[in-house]
Amino acid sequence: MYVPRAFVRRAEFEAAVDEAARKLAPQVVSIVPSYDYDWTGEPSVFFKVTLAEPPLPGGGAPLTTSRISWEIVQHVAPVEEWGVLPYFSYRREPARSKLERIPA
Amino acid sequence: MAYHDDLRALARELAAGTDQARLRRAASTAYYALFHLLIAEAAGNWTRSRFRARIGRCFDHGPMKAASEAKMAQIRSTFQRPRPVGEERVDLHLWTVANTFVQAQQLRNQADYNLEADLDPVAVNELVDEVEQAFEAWYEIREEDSAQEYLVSLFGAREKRPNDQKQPPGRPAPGATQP
Repeated sequence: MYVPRAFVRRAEFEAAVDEAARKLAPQVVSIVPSYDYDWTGEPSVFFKVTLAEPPLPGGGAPLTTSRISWEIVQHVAPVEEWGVLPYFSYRREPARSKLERIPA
Repeated sequence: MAYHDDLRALARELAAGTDQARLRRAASTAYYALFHLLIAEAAGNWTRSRFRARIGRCFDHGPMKAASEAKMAQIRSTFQRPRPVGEERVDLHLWTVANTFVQAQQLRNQADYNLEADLDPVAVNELVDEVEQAFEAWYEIREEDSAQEYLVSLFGAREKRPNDQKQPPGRPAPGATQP
């Protein structure tokens, strides 16, 4: 039985996901993946994406959630590189500066 | 107003609710809005309008998901090389439509069949927003060849090729790894 790469090499996969979140800051605050099978039984990754509420620090128009999904897929390549289908759910929190988000 | 537009409006109304019944119906209705939009667009190409509803019955959720995934993979592969901006814009819109279909279908199945966890109102409202975005994206590109090709692929019928060989059993999916 074959297991997707994302299921067995989670640390590497999550490092790639964290990298994508950093590239999409400040609008994307965090991306938290969880692993399961979708309704058709395909191995999947479920991304919980937290977005900052506008106005964003530094200005700039926010991306649509569709565009954010595209950018995450472009950065992480979950199907091609990791063998998992990506699913996204979005939530929002009040905007904070990038400096506030960096842990001490 | 077309049926899929009525569903789109109804999804928005239901998503304003706070109880699980309304939220679940909102997620399901949003999915069906997009489902019926795509079917209507495909069947609308049939000249004899009295047969369009029957053509619509040929579509099925599973093959439509598979076709949407294949289209997304195809679009992603074309972004590996430089392309004209106009082409990229069309493909990004098409990716949005196909991706939203897959996302909405998954949430619809959770909404209709999985009562283990409550649906998050924010997630449902985001889905309704994304379905709206998918509708707008579709209307921008519906006349493009790539968009029409996508509609045909949603039928799910596999073209017969004379030299097709069956895949050997146990062939791993892309990105798979052996335990």
